Amino acid sequence: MSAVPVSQKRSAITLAALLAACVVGLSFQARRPTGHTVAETLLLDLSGLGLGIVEGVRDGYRDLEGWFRTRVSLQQENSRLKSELERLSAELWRLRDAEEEKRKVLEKLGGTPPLPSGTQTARLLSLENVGPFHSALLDRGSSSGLRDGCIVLGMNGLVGRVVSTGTTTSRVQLLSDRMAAAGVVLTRSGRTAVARGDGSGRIVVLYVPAIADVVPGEPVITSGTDGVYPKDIPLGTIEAVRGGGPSIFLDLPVRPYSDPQRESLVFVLPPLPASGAAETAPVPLSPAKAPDKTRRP
Amino acid sequence: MTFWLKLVAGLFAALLGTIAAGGSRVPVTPDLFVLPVAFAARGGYPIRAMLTGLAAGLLEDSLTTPPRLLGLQAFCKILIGYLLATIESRVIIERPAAIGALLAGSAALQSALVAGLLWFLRGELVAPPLPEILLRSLSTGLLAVFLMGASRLPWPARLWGRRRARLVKEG
Repeated sequence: MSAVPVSQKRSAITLAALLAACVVGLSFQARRPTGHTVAETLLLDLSGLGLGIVEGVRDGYRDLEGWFRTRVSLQQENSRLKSELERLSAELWRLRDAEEEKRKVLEKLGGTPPLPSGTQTARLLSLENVGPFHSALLDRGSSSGLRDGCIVLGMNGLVGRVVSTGTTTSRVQLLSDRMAAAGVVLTRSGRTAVARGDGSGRIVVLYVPAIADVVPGEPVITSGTDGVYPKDIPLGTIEAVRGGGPSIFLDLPVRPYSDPQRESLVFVLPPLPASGAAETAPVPLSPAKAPDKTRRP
Repeated sequence: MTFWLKLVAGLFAALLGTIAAGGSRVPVTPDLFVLPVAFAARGGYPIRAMLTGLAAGLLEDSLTTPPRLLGLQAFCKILIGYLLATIESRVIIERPAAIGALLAGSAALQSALVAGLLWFLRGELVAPPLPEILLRSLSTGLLAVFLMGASRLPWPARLWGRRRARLVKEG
């Protein structure tokens, strides 16, 4: 025997082809204990794999399509919200400019808007605190045109109302009186409530639920819904927010803007008409103490 | 041309031998079909040896009882033909004992390959007993040694010498 050089590559290819042909032929003949041939099992596996791939591609396409649709809708909504934001920003700047212009005009015209017709000035002569009853005496009476129901304002806020008139004097029921009450609005939260005296010289806001968002220092103004006081008269600020007890309402003491013990000169407004109280024009007060409604959240 | 004739004759002889052995119910027979493959692998021609292995294997597969698997023995014979041709192309083997050992190993390798293929295809390990494998390998190797030795005898010269001696004696 003698060694002869051979083409290794061609031999290897031929060997692989022949062996592969034998394996393929055998795989179509030999049956496994399951009853299937190797080729059938392989074809079934490949079919399952192919179906899985097709299903995965289909699901992926659906997910991609859903993602694309969601993205398009979000882009559209984002664009719409942006344009809405721009419009609202422009409106806000316009309103701020108008407010600033109004403030400048008021400053040039005298600083404070005119009081309603029939408004008079009066002096507080004395204060009377008898138990839960708190009242004051004015130096003007029916001879000056005062009558029951007139509203008494201090320089900074509401003081009370006239409950009886003499010829030259009148008695004022202060807000700290046990029997006094007024409909109010918390300007920050916009919540309506009732302010009344607790008989000890303080004013409290009642009927504000414990879940309400109230913060100390929140301004309180009249709401005009009680038919007694005009709306938008500053009353005071929330001094403290107390809750957490068994009551479902908050305990909200008020620090009044106007202290009758330090007020000597007051304004007396004519009483509200019998009907349409809520529709009456608000009483303009000092711009420095007027509630800033634009700061509501 | 003489080579191909010898090859076909070898295959035919293996076929007849296998049929005869099967008919005589011999428990263990040598692997007769590996001999033509080894003959084709002489000189280190792998493709020739593989094609011969394919033919020999298909013939052997056709002789098996059902369920027959066409290609089972062919796979092994192709691989053995390639291995024998590769060895022939790298190593010079002339001693009959070495050739016998090589073919005995080839027979043992074929038994192992058949068992592995059946395990792969059917999922169950069906291997013949080890003594049967050893006997088959040993008989194949011995037969190869015998044929190798017989092929090296100068049969034509001896026949011609006997004939000439007989003519001289008669004349």
